[in-house]
Amino acid sequence: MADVEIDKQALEGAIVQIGSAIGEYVTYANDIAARDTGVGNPVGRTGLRVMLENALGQAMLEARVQHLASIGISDRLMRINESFEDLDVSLSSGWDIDYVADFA
Amino acid sequence: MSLTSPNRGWALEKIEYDSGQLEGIHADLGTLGDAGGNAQIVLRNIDGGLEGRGQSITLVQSESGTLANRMNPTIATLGRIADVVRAYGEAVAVHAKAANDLIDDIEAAHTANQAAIADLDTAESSQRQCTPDDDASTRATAEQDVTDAESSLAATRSALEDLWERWEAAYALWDDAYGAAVAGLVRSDGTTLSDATLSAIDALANADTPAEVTEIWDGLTDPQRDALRRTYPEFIGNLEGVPYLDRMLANKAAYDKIVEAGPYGEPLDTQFATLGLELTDFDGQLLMFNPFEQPQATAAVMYGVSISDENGDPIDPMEGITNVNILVGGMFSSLEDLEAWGESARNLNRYADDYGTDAGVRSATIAWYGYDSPNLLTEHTMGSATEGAATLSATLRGLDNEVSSSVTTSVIGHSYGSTTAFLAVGGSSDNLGVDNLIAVGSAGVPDGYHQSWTGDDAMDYSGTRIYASRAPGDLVARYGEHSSFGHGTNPEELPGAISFESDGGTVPKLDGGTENGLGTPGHASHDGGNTIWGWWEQDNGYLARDSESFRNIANIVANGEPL
Repeated sequence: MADVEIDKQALEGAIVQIGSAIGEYVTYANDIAARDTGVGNPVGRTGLRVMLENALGQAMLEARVQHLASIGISDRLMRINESFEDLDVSLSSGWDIDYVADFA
Repeated sequence: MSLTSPNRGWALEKIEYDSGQLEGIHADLGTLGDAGGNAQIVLRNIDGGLEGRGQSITLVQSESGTLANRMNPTIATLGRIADVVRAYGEAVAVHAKAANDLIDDIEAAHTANQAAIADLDTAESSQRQCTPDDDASTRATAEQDVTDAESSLAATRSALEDLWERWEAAYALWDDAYGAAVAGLVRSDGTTLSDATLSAIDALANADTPAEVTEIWDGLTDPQRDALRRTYPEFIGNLEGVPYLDRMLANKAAYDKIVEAGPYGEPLDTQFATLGLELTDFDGQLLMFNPFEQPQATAAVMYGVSISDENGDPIDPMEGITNVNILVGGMFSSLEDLEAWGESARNLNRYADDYGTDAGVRSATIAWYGYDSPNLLTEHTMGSATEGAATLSATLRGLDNEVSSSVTTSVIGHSYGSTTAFLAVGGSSDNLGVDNLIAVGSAGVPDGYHQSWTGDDAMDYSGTRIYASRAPGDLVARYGEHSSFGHGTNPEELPGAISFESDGGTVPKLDGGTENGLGTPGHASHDGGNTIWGWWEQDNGYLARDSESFRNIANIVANGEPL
């Protein structure tokens, strides 16, 4: 197996893993923020429930922002991976310096 | 049965909690933290382990490493929140459960003790009726009956005292756990604090009433108060009992911090922008602000008050205020509606002050968005009202603590907002200090036995005058009342309720004279008649400035009666 193939496999693995791992993370964050916490309003006190909901909501929004950032990273990885495929096609049909210029 | 504990003066109420939900949230917070940790591993593998050279590879590695680091505070905070939830969950499972389990026993023991008191009274009365002419046996029997009754009373009293002692002990441990959980959440960002600041947080978090909070706040040193304003404005900004001036300054600081850290996506970004305009262009003061509460952000904006004088020096915002009004919205209400509701609040101040000139009225009005307003499905139930009433009650207790008893407080609820407002006032076990309770387009107010958080007591509006209006063509309100599970009472039919008109008529103009007040054609608070998008019905809703309904409300607020 050539080095190029090893790198391509690593890239494809990273794309799958980042999508899966952060996707799971943000899904859990969304789920927790939307649920009843079980604190309620004991003897009419609302402070703890509101604070907990607010804290979980803030964590969810942070997770969403982090998820968006991960999508940016995933997109970048996919573009690199597509360049590999282009390179593969190029190497098969004749060397074209333009296709490998990005990796310099 | 409404009982109060003998030593601590705590009301005998069931402590609400759901152990299953608390355990579930705790477990899932752990899972979430693990998922975040796994995501960080993947990102760090890309950062340090992805083979290759070149600008694209270097950039993606760098971005991955940065993102992994950015996740650290979120995951650490989640861990601390999980610890708080676990500790509180364990405490309620033991102490709140123990206290709740004693309630039936205490009520039974109280009843037995009352019966024993009555028995002793009867026995003593019988003994007093004995005369020297009675035979010895009769007198001995009477004396023995008294002795037996005294003995029974001693036994029932001892049993009751023992139960109260156990209940107060369990309640106190739950109360401590609640305070510890509040303090833990305040500190969940992990900021390192001085001992003085930590003790201030603990003291405030453990205060049970607005009056206690005020006492603790007043007792803090200036450096302690400054530290709290700087580090946790969102905590003191929402804490009833902290003076309104400090809360308004703190909430503005919290708002600025939150907006600077955005954007957050919709609907929050639009809501924050709308809120910002009200604060900057219309002198609204932020009295409550929970930007990330789920499922919708909650806030309260007060109009008609100033927090600084012409020199920019801080002043008491409530100085000179004679009337405080709270507007409570109904179905689908959210911070996005603040433009219209803020305008109503400012107009209410203008018209109430004008109508009440002779009485020296000076009004402040709060546009209150403190609950998860219902949608078409949930409007039929008491769920949103129950949650909203608890929060509104807290606001009203804080207001009652903030202003003198001479200030007139009016709560105005539109549609389901009246359901919530009436539950808050009528369902509260204590007096919230509300003078006027006004319903417009009411979707029905609580029937009296569906309110879960106040037990099975009937609604009690003692000390509060009730006013209500429903436009002849308001189909939505009538549907809401008749299709409800728990709010099927027309407020106009409550004992002593005063109806007022909203179908159009002559109303006073500002500065004298009269004009035609518009009739409200349907259910809307401002625009739309009986529809959501009724563009052909503009500015004639119950709370629109030129409607007859609104002018009636202004006169009730100012003079205690409709026009």
